[in-house]
Amino acid sequence: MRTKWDEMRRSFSRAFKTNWKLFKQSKLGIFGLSIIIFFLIIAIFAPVLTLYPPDYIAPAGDLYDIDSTSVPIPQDLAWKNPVAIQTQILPGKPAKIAGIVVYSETGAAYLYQRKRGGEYESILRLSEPWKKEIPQGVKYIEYEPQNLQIWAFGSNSLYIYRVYFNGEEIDAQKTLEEYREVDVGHTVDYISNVWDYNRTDRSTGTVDATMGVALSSKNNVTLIIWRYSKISLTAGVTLYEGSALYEKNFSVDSEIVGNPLLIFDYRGNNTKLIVPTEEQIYGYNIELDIKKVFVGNSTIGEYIAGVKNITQIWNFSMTQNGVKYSLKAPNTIILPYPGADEATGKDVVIALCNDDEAFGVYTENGTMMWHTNLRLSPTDPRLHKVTFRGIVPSVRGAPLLYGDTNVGGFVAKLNAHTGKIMENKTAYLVLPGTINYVSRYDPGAQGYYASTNEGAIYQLNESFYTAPHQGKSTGLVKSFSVIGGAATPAIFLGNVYGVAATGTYIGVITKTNHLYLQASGGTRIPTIVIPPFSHGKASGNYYFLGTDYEGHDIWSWLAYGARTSLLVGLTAAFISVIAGTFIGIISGFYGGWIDIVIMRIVDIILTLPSLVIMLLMAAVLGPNIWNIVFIIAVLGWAGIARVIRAQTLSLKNRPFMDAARVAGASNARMITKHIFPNVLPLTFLYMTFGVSGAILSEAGLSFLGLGDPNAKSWGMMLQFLRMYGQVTNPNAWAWLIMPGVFITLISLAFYLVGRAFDEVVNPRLRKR
Amino acid sequence: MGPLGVYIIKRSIQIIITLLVIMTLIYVLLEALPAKPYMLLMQSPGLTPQQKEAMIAAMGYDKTPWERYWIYMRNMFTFNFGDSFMTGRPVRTILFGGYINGQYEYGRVWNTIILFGLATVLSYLVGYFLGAIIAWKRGSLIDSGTVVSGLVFYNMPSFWLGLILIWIFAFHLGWFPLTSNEWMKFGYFSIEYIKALILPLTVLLLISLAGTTLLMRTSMLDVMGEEYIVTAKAKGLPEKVVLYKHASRNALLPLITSFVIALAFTVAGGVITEQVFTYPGMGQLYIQALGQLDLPIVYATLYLITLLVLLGNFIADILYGFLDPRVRIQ
Repeated sequence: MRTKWDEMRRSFSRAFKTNWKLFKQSKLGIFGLSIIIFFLIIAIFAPVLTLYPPDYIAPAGDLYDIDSTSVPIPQDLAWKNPVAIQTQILPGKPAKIAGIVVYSETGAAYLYQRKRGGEYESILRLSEPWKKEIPQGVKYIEYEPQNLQIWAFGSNSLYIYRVYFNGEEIDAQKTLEEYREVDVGHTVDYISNVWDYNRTDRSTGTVDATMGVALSSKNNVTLIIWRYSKISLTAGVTLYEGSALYEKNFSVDSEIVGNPLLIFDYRGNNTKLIVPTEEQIYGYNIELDIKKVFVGNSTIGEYIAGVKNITQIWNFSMTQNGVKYSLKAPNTIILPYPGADEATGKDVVIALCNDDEAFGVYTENGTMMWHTNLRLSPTDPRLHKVTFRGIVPSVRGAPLLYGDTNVGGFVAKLNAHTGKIMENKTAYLVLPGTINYVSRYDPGAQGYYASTNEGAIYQLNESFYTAPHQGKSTGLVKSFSVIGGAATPAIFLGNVYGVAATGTYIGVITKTNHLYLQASGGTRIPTIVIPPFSHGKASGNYYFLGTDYEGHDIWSWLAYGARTSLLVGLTAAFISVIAGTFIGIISGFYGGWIDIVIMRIVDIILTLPSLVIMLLMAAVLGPNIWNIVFIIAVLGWAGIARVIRAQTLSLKNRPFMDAARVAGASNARMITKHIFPNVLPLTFLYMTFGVSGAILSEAGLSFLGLGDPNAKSWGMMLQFLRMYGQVTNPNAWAWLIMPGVFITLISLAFYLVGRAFDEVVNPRLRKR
Repeated sequence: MGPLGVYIIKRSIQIIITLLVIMTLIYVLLEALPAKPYMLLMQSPGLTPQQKEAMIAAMGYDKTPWERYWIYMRNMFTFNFGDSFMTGRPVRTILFGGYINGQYEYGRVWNTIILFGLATVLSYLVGYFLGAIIAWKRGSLIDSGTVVSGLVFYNMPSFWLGLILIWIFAFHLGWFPLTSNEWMKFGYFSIEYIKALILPLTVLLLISLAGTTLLMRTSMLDVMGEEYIVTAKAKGLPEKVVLYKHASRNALLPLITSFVIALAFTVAGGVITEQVFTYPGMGQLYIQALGQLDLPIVYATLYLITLLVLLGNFIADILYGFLDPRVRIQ
């Protein structure tokens, strides 16, 4: 017995065979179909056809132009952090030469000077170094840009070195002259953050700077504070000659277990010293004695003569809601609040941390108040256990907190006003690998640099917080990985000036004994785009069509992008056409107010410029591939509905419909058996055009940045091309041309198939 | 009141209702955004709570959504667009031009209209002639060549074509500026402006010519099958006369209606084209404002676009009624 389904199947296959014969006659149709098959093959067999997965990033040796900025360093020494020296800028003259100091544990400091030559050097080239013996056992090195000094903190000494210039060259005779040695008087186990404040006196243009450090060991804390004014060098005197260093030892009752922290303002008043011990955290107000320095008869400036009064003001007793908290002090971190009134202690903010907790505390008029006990989101499995290790100040007032989690390094932005980790979830990042250093804030890059033990260097931009739906976070950029891994943490070197060129460089010493300097080009370290048909120079990988600016293989992205295009195109078109057909049929068949309402809606949708509305919806819904499909479908069904409705109307009035109704056919039967099969060709037709349009829409949306960042899409490739400014890069020709060619081809293919099908369905169109 | 008058009134009411519905939809969509405009500005850590409240009030978020809805509707209909959240500049001046801080800013709306209006006009003009010629020479190489290249351009993503043109003409040959802002120092009637217009115009033309040429061609082929053409040829009239005086003029009608509708969509502009060429038009403003959640600009732009598109369609309908007597009879 023949069932309904048998009949439908037979009519479908009959229709199919006749239509296919007619379709074959159109050359363009066959051409289109073969292109579609071509892309289908690429999409399905992408993993087989590509050498690398789309997420693969070419290794650093291929991407970074490192040879020009790396200098081999002597192999027999154990190396520490490189430190840069900033040159002084004389008014009216070009900037002077820069140098880089590298020191070793075994007692040598090497100074590399930038090579001269050429009108404009954008790349730092280093000369053979000068070597200077320095005492062994230096633990920590810090540079002071205003006066070209290097401070080396040893086990029980502080060494200060000064760089001298002879004209524009570094004076080889006097370079790194040991300027002062300070005997701290006890072993040094902990060294605080070196906090400094710079203030420019607008009337005179002089710059005040105060720096300080606290050195501590088991029972001792030593404060070292220094201060100077920079005066016009035409006087030939720098105040540093006259300023003094003052030390004061004091003991506390129990063992000091963590970094003491010294916080002070430029006036030298209300300086605070925070000392964490096993039991408690002690806070001291320190009053500094400021003296004036005279040379001849004129006042040169002020210097700190001593620490006058130390008064203990804080004794953190931690009770909240009746529960006594004990802080494990090594994780204590304290921040000053930029707008706080240090005179009264009002609004000085302290963030105290345990392993996975950060507490924010306000003081008002000297009393302690607890704010909420902020725990990191327990739902994020990566943050199960966070150990805070340090804090880096930022000139904008949103310091960076860093530490370790169970899966890697952890960085978070702190709201300096409240001392809390910024509550938006994207204000923290988990880095793969253990962080070994976070640099100071770099105003040029508007961010920080963090290096990991694995040798990767991350650039963390200020804008951690990304508004929802703006795609992937821009707060973290993996800058580069050094070949062979890093032997030392990378340190942001600061501005290293050269003749006619300025630049910010990051330095790291690799395990392969190279001092590697990379210009930090603004917010991103520049890479090269590997051209097509070439091999990576370090890895030997073959990149068929080259790589993009981040190191992705272009052919991989093209192949996997086919999946995205086909998926979005077919799905969106399918949904919109099916929906449009059904709505059109219902609207045409039933008429009446359903028809009126639906047609009004259709009018509205067709009136609106689709891309503008798509952008709006994408902004609201978020950049997700299914949202894109939804958006395209929601705007696409209207046109089809209108056409199907017209067709339905014309069918409705045909005699065979009357006959069916007379024969007693129900509405449903009339729709499914009579109308639907007759509008089906139109439906197929619009489906092909719909795919073509959907693919172009998706490409457009991706190009504007609203595509799904996880889906590799051809439009997105072009967006990145433009975003990274590589449109004019001759190496990037494949990156520019291929995505567009593919989009055009696939869209054209569907269109041609549609046209050929149109001729089948609409015999009038043939032979025209 | 004649049938035309009744029609106008009916359509006007339709337009107003459509406008209201669309504006409400836009409002609902934007209200659904979880991120609010004040959130971005609140990131600055030095703000006191009072400053934050002042900021929220300035953006109008101290009122309920319902209150804001009425304010919004009222403002839109009185063209009181307010000030931008990000720059504080009056939106109306940004859109229509005017003086800000003593400097004259060119209105974004006019920029877009000039570029896309020119593109539309040129596209139809060229399409008219080209379509007539290739329909006449149907089956020849020119015909198929034009059709094929038209298809290719039609399916090309406009931004890609733009990037390639920039690469060739602006970068390698240096004929045109790479960024599209220099001309603002010189005004609309300057070489710089023309130079800035040429590349985006080319992209727009190439892509839309496919449509207009094909439309003209189809329309011509329809007309050429009519009897009066056969008569004209039989009369012995020269080909050129038949082509231009008889055939193409009658083929003009669908083209004109399509043209008017296309003009109506001019205002929407090409968001993508403006973005690629960084042309300071409404589309680029819209994208920027959307990204920064600068809602006054977003609302104003969407409102203007909708209004103008609806008006354009309305005018097209009436024009069509005038031009084609067959419609009036119905």
